[in-house]
Amino acid sequence: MTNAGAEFRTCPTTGLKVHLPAENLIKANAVAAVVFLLIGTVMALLVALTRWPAVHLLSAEGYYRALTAHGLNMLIFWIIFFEIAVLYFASAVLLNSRLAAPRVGWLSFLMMLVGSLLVDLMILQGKADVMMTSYVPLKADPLFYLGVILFAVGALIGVGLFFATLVVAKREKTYEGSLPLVVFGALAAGIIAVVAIAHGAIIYIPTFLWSVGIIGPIDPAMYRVVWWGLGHTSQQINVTAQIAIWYLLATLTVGATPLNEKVCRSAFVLYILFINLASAHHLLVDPGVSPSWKIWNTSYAMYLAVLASMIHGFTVPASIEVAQRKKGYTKGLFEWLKKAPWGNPGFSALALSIAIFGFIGGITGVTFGTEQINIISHNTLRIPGHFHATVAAGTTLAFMGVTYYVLPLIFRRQVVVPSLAKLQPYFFGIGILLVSIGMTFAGSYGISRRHWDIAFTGAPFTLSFDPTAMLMLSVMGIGAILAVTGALMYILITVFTVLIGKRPA
Amino acid sequence: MEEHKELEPRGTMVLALVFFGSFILYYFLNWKWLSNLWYVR
Amino acid sequence: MSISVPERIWWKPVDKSEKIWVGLALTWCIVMFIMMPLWHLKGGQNAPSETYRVTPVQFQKATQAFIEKYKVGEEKGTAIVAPPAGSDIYLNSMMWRWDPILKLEKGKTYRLHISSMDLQHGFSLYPQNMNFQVLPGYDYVLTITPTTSGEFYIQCNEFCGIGHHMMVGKIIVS
Repeated sequence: MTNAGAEFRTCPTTGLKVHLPAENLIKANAVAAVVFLLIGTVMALLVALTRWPAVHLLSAEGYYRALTAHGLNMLIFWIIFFEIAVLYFASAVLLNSRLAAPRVGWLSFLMMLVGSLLVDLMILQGKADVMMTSYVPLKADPLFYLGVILFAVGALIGVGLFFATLVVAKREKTYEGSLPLVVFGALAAGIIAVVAIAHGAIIYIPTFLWSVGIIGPIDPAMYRVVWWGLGHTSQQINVTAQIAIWYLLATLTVGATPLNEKVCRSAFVLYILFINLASAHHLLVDPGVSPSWKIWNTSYAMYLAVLASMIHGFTVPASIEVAQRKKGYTKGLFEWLKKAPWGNPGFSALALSIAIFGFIGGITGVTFGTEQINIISHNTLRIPGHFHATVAAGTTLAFMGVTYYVLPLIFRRQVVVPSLAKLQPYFFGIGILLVSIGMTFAGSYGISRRHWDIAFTGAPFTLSFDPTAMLMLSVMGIGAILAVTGALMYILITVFTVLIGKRPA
Repeated sequence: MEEHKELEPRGTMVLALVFFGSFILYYFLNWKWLSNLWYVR
Repeated sequence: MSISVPERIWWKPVDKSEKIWVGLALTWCIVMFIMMPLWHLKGGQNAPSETYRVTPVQFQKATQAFIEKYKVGEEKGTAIVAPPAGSDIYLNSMMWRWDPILKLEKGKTYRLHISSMDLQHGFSLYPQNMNFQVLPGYDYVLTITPTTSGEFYIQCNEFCGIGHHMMVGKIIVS
């Protein structure tokens, strides 16, 4: 690729050199992300209002359809489009480099867009009521699998472009020395993404061929092993990208500097080495897997990936504390925290993301991932209780927080209605917190996930759940309304900022 | 580096220990729940 | 700054606070690791691994023979089966029912075979909240000992189509 068309502008706030083709790609991916977030949010409301027994909104068919759409739009489309934007930002913008091959970036974007639209079309037409996991022998329309494959290959091309841009930056000497920590974290996320998407290809291509009748049945146990190589590993892309964003936000909001680069970077390396094995914890109560295999893998090779999360969960707030103390907030243990910029949505999103991810998501996840404890949590509502704390509160909230910086820096628009933006992370964060707590405790009473009717209409036997469990479902419902409000606030703010926000002088 | 003591992240350490305590509590509470179940192997 | 290039040599000794935390976290990880094998030795609840390949036809036959041999009654069209303690017992799953209803004795051990005729299902025992995955083509053997008596229900907790919520079975322990 030649460098002929490359144009740059210099960001007046940060002094960074911004490659305009990279900027356009960041914008496109971010806009697509928000559109899919909107679809996912509407589905979230429908799903939550159905599982709230007092409302029980949708029919069984509608519920499973909305749930399938909710999972894919949120967990895959919103998050991965945003992550691709983050990767381009971390490589081209933070390294003052040109994007290696913008046209390839547009190819990636187009494939992801067509793929995700195809998937949504199939789901909404009722041709893919198979949940996000699409466990065989449950079968969807071939175009559903084709859409997933297109999206995954598109994303893989985007990740490849990120790697290529790192090489270009190094070769063209746009920076000297080691990569900045945020870029290093993004690199870790990129490597994990390749592993995840490779698993996706290994399982979705044969499943597609099976759905069109070219090959025979797919073994359900084999499907689960490989699918979770995608399903879980892709959540580790999220965690890793989210933590890179934590470091980014800590710097942008309070000027924090990592306490010790060695510790932070080593923790990212632990993710690359060990986190992929974590996918085994989805198979702890499956037939056919031996205890030693399960123990070794779910202990993430002795929990070394958990160790990494515990390290980041300490070093990020510690770097914030030190930065605040340097500003003179040294009284007592917590003056630094009290005097933190809680009115800055970037900061409040960061703080809530760290707290909910760690206290709820981390603790529940590691506990349920224990071989034996999985018996009392597998496929109950405890599982979505856990991953809403990690992926919705952790990743999504971090992404929302960084958006308040992306808007002025990349879109070059001032955020509209700042007073609303100030409240947005609290609505979303506290909403998701209630959702997670409600689900986790309801699940402890045996209420299962992906279940339309806990009154068991039409079943030969009914079982009546503890009143506390029902109360917990209401907590989830109320939390969902708050979180949906927060998400809609975010969507409105971003859309109106992009359309009519004032251009900074 | 002279005022090093002032700058130590002591607050974060306290928060981290609270986290650690909740983690241990929830983890072993789950083992307790598990131990009430039917035997299975 | 996390967004700028670090100083030339960033491989530096670690501060006290970080050292303490990493040490604590690592110790905790090792404790959690040890708990799993330890529970295999000392605990009563471990996810089974005994599994055999089976075709739906074979499993259906085995279940049918089992039902005919030990049937003691019927409830809502489903056979109630009272097998002797210590025996191999069968629970078949299909869209959208569990077959048969099992009548077991408290404190006695059974080898419970579960499999599916069609899609993946989930065995979720209520109110015990014990959950196991059920796959077509696999005979999963749970060696169980009921320690409480009463009526227990099995809800399906793996999505298996539109009637998923109706898939409820029963175990009676006396």
